[in-house]
Amino acid sequence: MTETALLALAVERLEVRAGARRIVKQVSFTARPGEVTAVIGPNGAGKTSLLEAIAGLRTTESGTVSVGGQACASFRDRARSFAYLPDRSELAAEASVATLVAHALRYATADIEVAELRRWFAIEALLDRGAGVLSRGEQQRVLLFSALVLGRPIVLLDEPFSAFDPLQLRDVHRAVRSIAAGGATVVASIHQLTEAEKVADRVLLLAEGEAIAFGTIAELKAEAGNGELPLEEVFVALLARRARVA
Amino acid sequence: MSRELAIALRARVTWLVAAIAALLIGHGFVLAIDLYSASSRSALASVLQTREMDPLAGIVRPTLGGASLALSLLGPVIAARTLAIEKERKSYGALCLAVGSSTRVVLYKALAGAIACALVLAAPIVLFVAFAAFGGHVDPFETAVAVSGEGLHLLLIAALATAAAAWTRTFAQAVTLGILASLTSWAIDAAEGFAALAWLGKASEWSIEQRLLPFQRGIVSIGSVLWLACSSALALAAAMTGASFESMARKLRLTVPLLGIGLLALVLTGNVRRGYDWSEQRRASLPPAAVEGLREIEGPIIIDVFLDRDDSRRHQLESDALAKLLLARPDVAIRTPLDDAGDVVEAQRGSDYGRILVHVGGSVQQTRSTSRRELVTLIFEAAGKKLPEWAQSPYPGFPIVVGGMRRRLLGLLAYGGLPLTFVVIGLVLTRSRRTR
Repeated sequence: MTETALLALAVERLEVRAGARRIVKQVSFTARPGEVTAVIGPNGAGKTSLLEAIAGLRTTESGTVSVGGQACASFRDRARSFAYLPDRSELAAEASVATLVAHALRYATADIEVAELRRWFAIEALLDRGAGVLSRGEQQRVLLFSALVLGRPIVLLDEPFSAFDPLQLRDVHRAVRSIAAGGATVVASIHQLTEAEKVADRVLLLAEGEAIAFGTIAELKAEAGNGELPLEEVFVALLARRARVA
Repeated sequence: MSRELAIALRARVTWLVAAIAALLIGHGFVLAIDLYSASSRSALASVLQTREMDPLAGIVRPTLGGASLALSLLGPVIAARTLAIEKERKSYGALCLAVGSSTRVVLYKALAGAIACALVLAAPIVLFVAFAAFGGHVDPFETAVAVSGEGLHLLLIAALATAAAAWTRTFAQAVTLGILASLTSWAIDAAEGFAALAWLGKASEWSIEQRLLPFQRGIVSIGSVLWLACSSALALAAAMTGASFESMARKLRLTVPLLGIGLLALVLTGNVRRGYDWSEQRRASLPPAAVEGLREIEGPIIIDVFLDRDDSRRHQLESDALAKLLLARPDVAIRTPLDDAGDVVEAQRGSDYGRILVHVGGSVQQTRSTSRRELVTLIFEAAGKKLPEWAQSPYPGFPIVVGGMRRRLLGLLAYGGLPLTFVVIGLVLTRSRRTR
């Protein structure tokens, strides 16, 4: 990781609209370097919109996004700091995996552990194949590798684990944890709460565009009133509490 | 760039379009060959008729007409895809973040689209080489000028299609918008012969086809080069704005002044009349002595043409006498009062209709002839000078009857060889997408 990698991501009162509807409502949180922050929430909670807004791919109504204390004013600022894996994106089917990997490496920082990432994602076995014939899991391996290999200080991953089988997941978790351990700030939207529990240090719970809880998993469990509950039960309990308050 | 080139050149649709375009262009070429052969057969009996046998007009222009049609209708399919497919695959945002800017991504996409579109121009070039190999005459310089005009057209189509992809969400929307943009120019041209579109006649300055006409005569028109380059730059700038991640309101705020400046630049460049005659034996120009003499005439030359836009005499005057006159004197002012007068003048037409007035200094001369010699003579008379020697080495003409085996082989190349070559290359390049 580069020196600039040790940068926190601070999101302040971020608001996103789709037409007249507010789909992200005044969300604030801070993701720390060296940690994985999971964004969880029911369908339509605004997880993807939040990540897109942080990455600068969606216009925001208000709020700020700062990296290392510096507000990201332009797309260029964001491009210097962020790597992004969109949900359900596809590889360029016309290109070979070798071409796509070479393209990603061209924009990678020099001191990223490429060899280690290649091993975890088993990239060598795919290099001579066309991207269009890869399975969904293989495609996701290449996509995730291409995002992580950039070596940007903030890594935003939208549903990164959805296409993998349990065996592959172990390596993928290890890769994401390793990137975080190297000093990157990882924010990942994760639908499967068991995966979030395995990989995340902190969790942001979104519902209907609002941040209803944020903290370490232990803190969230305490907030839900039972430190022994699995994250799934914590999720249900916090959502139920919010519904009661509403 | 290799990633973008792979998306453009390893797509099945690119090669399918190239094959269809080759078929279309090949058909135009074969029709042109047959017509040229038939004309040559009768022309061979007379030297004067032989001089009329011009391969640029008879073979090159109709073949490139097919290429122009293919570029307008099919070019957007290839060019828009490079950016549009990225949006459909939801990979565009991540790509821009990885590369560092959406502007650079759009530039790469437009360039890759233009390179893929250039496949359309491969077919006419191969056909011209084949025609020359079978004994036909193709002057390399004037043909290169004609092809380079289509090259500029190609760049404009690629930029327009990229802009269409930048402002839309899907490939289908981008292609539809791209084709509509290129067809607008055709609608302007159609205004000439279609009463319902007559109101578009005044927009002929904005027609791409009109800008390509000088190239098809072997003339490097600086105005046309600048106009096409400016249009491409304007479309590219619109693409960059449209593909950015700004809000729609900000995009529009950026685009509106950009369009204003661009349109102004188009008006200014469109009025540049300087041109260079690269046709064989400079046959697109007036005789050299007349050109020298015209350049020595001091003061402005103004020509008033009282002919309707749809009058065939005016077409003849513009494409021959005035085009040649402007090559010699780009500063000649040509006024067409009837274009601006509206319907009121219809009733007032009488004996004045058809006049051509030549003003040089304070002197005015009048004619009803559209002959270039008559017009130039009047200019010299109005300037009080003697018409220089009207001598120009005659264009010999190049009649050729392509028949028998040569005709069959050219037909085979046009209808089979070229389209099939594109299909086979496409199958080979996209093989890795069919086998796991």
